This record gives sequence, structure tokens and C-alpha cells, in this order.
Amino acid sequence: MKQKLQSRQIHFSKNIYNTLFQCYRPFLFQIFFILFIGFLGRLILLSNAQLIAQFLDQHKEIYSHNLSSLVWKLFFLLSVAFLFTIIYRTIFSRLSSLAVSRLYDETTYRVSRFPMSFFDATPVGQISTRFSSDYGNVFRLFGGPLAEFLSILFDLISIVIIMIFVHPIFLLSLLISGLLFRFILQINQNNLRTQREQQSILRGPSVAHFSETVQGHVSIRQAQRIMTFRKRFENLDQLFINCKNRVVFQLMKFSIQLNLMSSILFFIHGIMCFYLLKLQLIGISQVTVILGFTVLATNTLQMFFEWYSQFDEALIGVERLNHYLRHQLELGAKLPAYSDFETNHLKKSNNPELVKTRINTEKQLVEPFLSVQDLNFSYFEHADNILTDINFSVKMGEKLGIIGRTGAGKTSLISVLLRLYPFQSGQIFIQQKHIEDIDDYRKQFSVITQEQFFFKGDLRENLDLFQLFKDSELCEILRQTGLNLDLNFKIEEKGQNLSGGEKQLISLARGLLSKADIFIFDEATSNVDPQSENLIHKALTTVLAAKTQIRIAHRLQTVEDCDRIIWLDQGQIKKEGPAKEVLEAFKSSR
Amino acid sequence: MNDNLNLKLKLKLNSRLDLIFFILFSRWLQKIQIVFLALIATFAALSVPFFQKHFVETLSIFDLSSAAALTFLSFTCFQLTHFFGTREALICQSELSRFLYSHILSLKSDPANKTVGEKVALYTTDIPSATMWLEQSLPYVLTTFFPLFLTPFFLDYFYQVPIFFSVSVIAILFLFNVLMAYRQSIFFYRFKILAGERMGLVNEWLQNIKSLKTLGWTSAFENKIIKKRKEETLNRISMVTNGQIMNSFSASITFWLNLFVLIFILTMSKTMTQENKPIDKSTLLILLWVMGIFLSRPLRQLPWLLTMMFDALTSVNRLSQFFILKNLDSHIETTAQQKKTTALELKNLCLSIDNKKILKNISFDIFENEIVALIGPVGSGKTLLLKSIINECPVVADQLYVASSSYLPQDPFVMSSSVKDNISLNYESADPDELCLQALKDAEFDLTTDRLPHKLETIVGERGLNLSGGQKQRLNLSRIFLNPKKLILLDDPFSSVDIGTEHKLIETIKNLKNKNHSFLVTTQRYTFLDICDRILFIENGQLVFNGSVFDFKSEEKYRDFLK
Repeated sequence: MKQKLQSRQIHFSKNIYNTLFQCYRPFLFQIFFILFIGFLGRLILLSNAQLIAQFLDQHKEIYSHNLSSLVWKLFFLLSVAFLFTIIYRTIFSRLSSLAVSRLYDETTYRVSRFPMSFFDATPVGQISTRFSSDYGNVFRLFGGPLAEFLSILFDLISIVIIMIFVHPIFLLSLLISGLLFRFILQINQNNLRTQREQQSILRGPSVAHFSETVQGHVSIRQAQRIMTFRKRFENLDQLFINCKNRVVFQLMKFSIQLNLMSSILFFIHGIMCFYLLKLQLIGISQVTVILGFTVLATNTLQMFFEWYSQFDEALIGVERLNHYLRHQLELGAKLPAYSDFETNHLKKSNNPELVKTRINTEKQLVEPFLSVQDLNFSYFEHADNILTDINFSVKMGEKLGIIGRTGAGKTSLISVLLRLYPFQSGQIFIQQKHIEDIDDYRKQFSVITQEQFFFKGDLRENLDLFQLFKDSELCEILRQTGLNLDLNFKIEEKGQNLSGGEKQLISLARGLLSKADIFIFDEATSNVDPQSENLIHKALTTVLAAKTQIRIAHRLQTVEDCDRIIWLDQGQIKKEGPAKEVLEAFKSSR
Repeated sequence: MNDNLNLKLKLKLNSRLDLIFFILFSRWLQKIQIVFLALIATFAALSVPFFQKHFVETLSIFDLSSAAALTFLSFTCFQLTHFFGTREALICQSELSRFLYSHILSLKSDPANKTVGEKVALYTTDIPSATMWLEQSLPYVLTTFFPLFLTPFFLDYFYQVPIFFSVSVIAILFLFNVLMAYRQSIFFYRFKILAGERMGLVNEWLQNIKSLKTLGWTSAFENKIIKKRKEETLNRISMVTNGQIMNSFSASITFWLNLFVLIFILTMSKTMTQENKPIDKSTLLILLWVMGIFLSRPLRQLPWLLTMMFDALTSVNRLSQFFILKNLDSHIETTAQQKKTTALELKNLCLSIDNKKILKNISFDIFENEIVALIGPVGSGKTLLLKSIINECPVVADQLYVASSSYLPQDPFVMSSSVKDNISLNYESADPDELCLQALKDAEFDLTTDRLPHKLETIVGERGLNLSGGQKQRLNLSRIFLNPKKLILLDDPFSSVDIGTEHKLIETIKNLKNKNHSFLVTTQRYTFLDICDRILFIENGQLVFNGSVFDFKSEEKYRDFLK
């Protein structure tokens, strides 16, 4: 296991640099300009020391009158350098923060449009990590620390320039030590990377376990499993802590190696200065500058490598987000027009009028309204079919009931009708047309169910998330559904303070607002109080009287007044016909 | 209950002071070691300029070697300080994490009402940041503050720079840093809150993605998240701006100090000494060295060190506020069984939360082989009554006898492990597969139609397959059916199962009744009442009806309730 880890090299895919480029694209000019200012600032700042040294070597004796001219010169240079530094640091880190936050938005646009199978197969915790710690790492490091990192780089370059300016011979020693530093970095880097990656892998389980325990503490206590769970947590946490310990140890080893190198360099530079002085090529003060800068370079280099390995981690974050950024979207999904990154995905046109006219032409009635032809479906490839050879059509205003035992495929049929899952073969036409765009397609449907999405906020928000309607319009819709709640009614998380029936009525109101043409009534569970049951039934027969309806029933009275009923059995249509006929056949089969 | 007896911990953290004391002074020998190493690092670094000065003056290789060796010594000691500090921090972290974990497991109700996310943040954010004092501050405090403290004396002793001058320069610098760091820690605090809120939205988004797609609301919800993200970014931008100003100062401060030294020498030589005496060159150089190189690292670290210390303090506060929460005591006169064939006896049970009476003088018994339904309006206290029975609430009662019991919570609990482990509620479950499969079957959990690719070994939970609400509920039921206790308490067991499943579950319940088990079930699904032996109706925390289904349905008031 350990060997396998160590031998693994981490290569970043090439398009993460493309992704980073796309992040920074709107700010490229500003960024380059500000980098130049930043470099200039650091160079001027560091050349101060050289200026002092030169002055000291040029003047045999120092008196206050000749010193004061130096002080003024220094003061001027320092002020300019300081101004440049502060401009560079603040503006650069602000621009860079804005640039990388674009990555967040673009990833969000894409993940929203991933196929459902992705969400079924990927744990929520894993997806949300991309938006919490991965993005967090990227966002944190590419803000301030990147400015710091680059400014350290500027320092290093400036130090090298100044040293060479003192005497070109130092170029040689610096080159050799540069190669040696690189060598030390290389032997440590892989090790550090794998350890760090291991650390982030080990973090997940302990946090997930902790979070589960918080949610399940009553069950754990009641089942008397406290010791079992404590042991589990201690193991998981210890694995993580041990790994962290190894990372810290690696880092220390690495740093001490660097320091040893620097001390040797310090000694070598001392010897070189010794001979240069003897040859009278440099002055005493310049010796101090060289030795001082050698120590300073060590400090700086140390920081440089510390940041460098952290950026490695941030790049892992970019890579993970990048993976999502270039992931396949669900069939027929298009990115919103305002998404900006180019990743070979389809994008909506940003001309709203064009869209409008297209939808308008579709409203001319063509019969049948909805038709399903030769549909075959299974959740996974090569798995058994859940739905086989489904054929049916619905006319405008018709009410179609679907019955069948648990597991007959009723719920799957809704998912497929909404194109939440791709089907193996067959076609679904609306007004004899195939609608490519998934959003336009789903707009035709509205599902009435108590398992819809309810979030913490008032009823107004829960009805109209896009904020498209006036209060009076919303009230009118509420009146039609018979829901007796105020628009300011506060809904709790997951709609915990709503009864099952209220949830159904709210989802009905949402459907009416979206002006859908086909209403699917999904009586998924039995948890509805009798009062709401009446209200819903009333709504189905009055408000939705003229609408096309598909009712999935668990209780047969729900579909008694349908025009037609389909009886599903083991994923196939067993019988289709007038309500009475099918219901009788179904009842007698029990 | 012997499992719970082992909960006694060596560690006692009853106040903030306890916690601070624990972080700083437990394992004090190791901590002294760290202080000692930091001292060596500082003194070694301070003596480098001596030898360097000597070398420049005398060009002796011995001096150069000493300077190089001391440089290495100081760097190495500094690295070791940092390493040992981090190691101490990690040890402290694991101790605190264990304490926190046990505390969460033993805390029955949380009066502070923290959300799951907030409690997880205590573990993931607050514990590491509280131990920052060890990881960063203890080593850095020494390597930052020693130089700062020592420099004035050093300058005074060797170069006659008045202490007053150097102390006031350092004090001004320090104060400025404190101010900026405080401001930074406020931004940082706000950042954590905003990021938490954003992640709340992200989780809502991911958990409801199917509904959002169906509703065509994806883009609206995306924009809701992005609005929060923008708020977070704005705060972040103010934060980096403040931080970068702080950094710009600390990164160029050594050069300003150089300038101050020159100005100081300039004014000193003008006022105190005669005009014509030249200034000593090497003294000047060493002064510049101290200010420029020796103080450069401490001064760069200072602002971040202070920010971290402020941040650690808020974490310590949050942790200790949570640690001091205690379970309230129950007062139960007797827990003995007084009748022969009961599974539950309850006399005058009362429950108050925050001085509000939730349950008032409730008395009833449940006998062997009995199915009892507990119904009542929303908020009447059904769930809290169940929790009181299983000793999860601080109740006052004359008598509370409970036979061995199992409990199905309203919010089902699934852990990240295999289905089998989940049924046993044990990691690496040793229960035979046949029993687990039977338990699943009893709970109407079908491995094929419920689409579990690896059957019993399928990993579910946060780090595995996502289960639907109904699946979670049935998995929890199978946990109860694996090893059913005498009394089975079910809180709304049919809330997310379909009608067919409900019928089958009722069959399982009836079978268990025939095997000498008793049930107390809260439900909103009133068809279930027909198979019950008795009905309890509570309203505003009072038991207002206790009798047969027939009697219940013959009262008009309750008939209306059922409609």
C-alpha cells in the first residue's frame, strides 16, 4: 500500500491550466500590469541595502552631512517602493479572488445539469466537498497567498540580481545552489504530495462519521452502542492525526535539509567574499550585503517552498473542480447564456425574443398532445428492463390514470416521462414534436406531489423562486387551490411544518404558476390527512378540469373519474381502456 | 447499560479556564522543551552578527565558520520548535476531539439548539483553531517575541541606543499590528459564517436536485447560491485587502527600520557628539543587520500570529460554551414494575422545557401483547412523550417502568457503512446474513427493487449510496426487527412509505404482537387504528383519552378529528 502510494506520480491534466486561464481571462491586462508594478516595488525596496553598502564603501569616513543626503535618497526610494508594493498586493489579490470565484459559479452551472444517474451514484458528501474544502482551498490560496507567493518570487529574483550586481561571480554559486535546492525539492515533493493527498482522503471518513453521530446520537444511545461508536471515531480520527503527523515530519525534514544547504551556501559566500576582499574587488559593506542577503534568501526560500507545496494542494482542488467543469451534462441540457467558460457544452442563446416566438408556435394544438412510443428503460446498462415496450398517448384535456402494484414501474415511468433518466429506446413526442432542450421540455409538465422541494423561507418564496409574479397573482392562485395559508407564512426546513396535503396543494400552485400543460399527480405515499385529501380532489376536478392529467394512483378512488386507465404490471402495460373496465379487471385480479 | 458505564473520562473541562489550562499546560514537560528550543534558536540567531562583524573586521575563517554553524543551529532549532509544537497540537486535538465526541453522545438534548453543521464545525474548525496556540503560537510567540523583547536590550548594551527609543518603535509597531489583526479576525469570523450559510444552500441544492430539475428551478436556485457566494467573495475581498495592507507593512518594515536607524544616528551625532567625529562603520552595519535581517522574520509573522491568536480565542470560547452544557436530571420516584403483565407503567409523568410545561401528569400502562396508538394534533407532545419513556428527557414522575425497549426515531439514522452494519448498528457486524435478510424482509426492504447493487454489502449513507426517505425509514425498522425488544416504540413509522408497504408492515407488527411484543406507535395514518388494541389521545400535553378503538370512534369529537 505504502509503496504503491510512493510510486504514484501526480500529473495535472493539461486543461486545468486552460481552466485557470479562463478564470483570469477578463482581468489579463490588469494582472500583467500590476505584476510589473509589484516586481519593480520589490526590486527598489531590496536595492536599498545595496545603496547603503555602496555609500559606505565609497566614503572613507562618515559624517552627518554626507549621511543626510543618503537618508533622503533612501526615504524617497522607500516611499515609492512601499507605494508600489501596497498597490500591487491589494489590487492583485482582489482581482485574483474575483477571478477564481468565477470557477465556483461555472462549476455550479454544470453540476446542476448533470444527469440524475450521477447524483444516484455519487455520495452527496463527496459532491459537496468540491464546493466546501476544494473550492475553499483554491479560493483562499489564489487570493492573498498568491500575491505573497509572487512577491516572494520577486524577492528571490531581486536578491539574485543584486548579488550579481555586487560581483558576477556570485551567479555561479547561486546557479549551483539553485540546482541543489531543486534536487532537494524533488526528492521531497513526491513524498509530501502523496502524504498530503492521503491526509485529505482520510479527512472525509472521520468528519462524515462525526456528522452521522450528531444526527443519530439518540439511536446510538438507545441501542447501547456508545463504546462501539467511540472506538470507531477514535480509529478514524487517529488515522487522520497520524497522517498529519507524518506530513509535519516530512516538512521538518525537508526544511532542515534546506537550512543545511543554506548554511553551507552562507559559508561558501563567506569564503568567496574573503578572496574578493583580498583582491580588493568588493568593499567591506558589500560583504555584509552578500552575507545578509544569503540569510534573507534562506528565509525567503523557506517561505517559497512552504507556499509552493500549498499551491500544489490548491491545484488538486482546481483539478477536481475542473473534472466537474468538463463532465458530461444530461441529455438535452444547455448551459445558461450567462455562463462564460468554454468547455464544449451547449449553451442557451442569449436572445430571449427568439426563444419566445419558438414557444408560441408550439402552442398551436396538434393531437395527440403527448405520445410515448416503444419505450424501453432500465436504470443501468445491461440491467433488467424496468419498463418494456410502453406505448400510449394522451389527448389535450384528457385524464389518464396509471395503476399497478408496488414495484410495477409507476414511479419509474414518471421519471422517464420527465426525462430524468435516459431511456434505452423509444421516443416521447409532445404535439408530435421532439423537444431537444431539456428545460423547454420539462416546462410542459408539472408534478403534484408532497415530496417536492420545500425550503426555509416564506410561502411567497417557496411558490415563486424566480420572483416573477405579483402578490395579487400569487393570492389568486392560492385561492384557486383552496390552500388557506398567508403568503408570509414561514415554512421551515424541508417543509417540516406543512402537512402532506398542504405540500400537495403548494406543488399544485407551483404548477399553475408555471403554466404547465400536463399535470402529473403522483400519489406517492399514503401520508395525507383526510381534510387535504378532499381539497386535492376538488382541485383536480375543478381548477385542473381543462388540463391534461396523468394520475399515478395508490388508492383506486383517485383514478375513478379518469377518462382512461393504464394498468402497469412488471414494467409492461397489462391493460389499457376506459376507467371502469380496467379497474374491474384490476380488482378481480387481487 | 454496561456499555454506557464506560463513558467516564479522565478529562474534565468544566469551564473556559479548564480548557485553556488543558491546552497550554497539559504535558508541560514537552512544552518546556519547546520553549527551550525557541530560546536556543533566538540566541543563536542573535550571535550570528557578532561573528559576522568579527569576520568582516579580521577576515578570520573561524569566525565565518562559527557564523555559518550558528545560522544552521538557529534554523534547525526553529524547525524543531515548530515540529514539536505541531505535534503537541495534534495530540491535544485528538484528546479534545474524543472529549467532544463523547460529550455529544452523552448530551441528550442541546439547549443551545445548535444545528448539525455547527456541531460538526466544532470538530472540523474549532478544535484545530483552538490548538493553533500550540501549533503556531507557542513556537512563533517565542521566535517572534524573544527577538522583539531582546532587541532593545541588545541595542542598548552594545550600541548605547536608548531603550526608550527602541521600545517605543517596537511598541508602536506592535499596537498597529494588533489593530490590523483584530480587524482581520472580524473579517475572518464573518467569512466562516458566510461560508457555512453557503454550504447550507449547497447541501439543500444537492439533496433536492431531482425536485429542482422537475420544477425547472435549477437556475433560480443556482442564482440563490451564487448570490451568497458573491456576498462571501465581497467579505473575502475586504479581508484580503486588509490582510495585504498588513502584509505590505510587515514585508517592508525592516527597511523602514533601517531608515529610522540612520535618522537616529544622524540626529544623535548632531545633538550629542561633536560635529567632526566620524561614525563607526561596522557599528552602523551591525545595527542595520539587526533591524534588517534579524527582525525580518518576527515582523513578518507578527500580524498573522496575532490574527491567529484572536481566532483561536473565539474557538476556545465556542468550545467551552458547548462543553459546559450538562444533561438535566430526571426525578423518578420508582422504576420498579408493580403489575405483572406490563411492558410499560407510567404514573404522573411531567416534562417542562425552559419552564414551559410540555407534558402534564401523564399516567398509563401498556400490557404484554398490546398495540397502542398514540395520536393527537401536531405539537401536542407525542414525540416528546416517546422520548421521555426512553429516558431522553428530564422528566418528573412518580413511576416509570420500561421493559427492554427499542425505538424508531422520526428522523431515521443511517451510518456510512454496509447495509448489514446498518441493520446491526455495529461496524463489521457479526450477525448472520440470514437473520439480516429476514429483518430486511420484515421491514419490506427489497434488495432488488430498492436497487442495491452489492446487496447486504452495499455501502450506504453520506459516503455511499444515497437512500430515499422511505428507504431510510425501512432500514431503521429492520434494525428493530433484527432483535425486537419487549416494548417497541415507533415514531411515525409510515410517514414515507406507500400504501402497499404500509399494509405489509402492519402485518409484521401483528406477527410480532403474537410473539409477545408490545407496541406504542404515533401515526397520522388512521387506517392503522383499526388493528390497535387501545388508543391514547393527547392534546396540549395532556392525556385526554385512553380506551378502545370502538369507544374512541363513538365519540363525536374524535370522529371529527379523524375526518
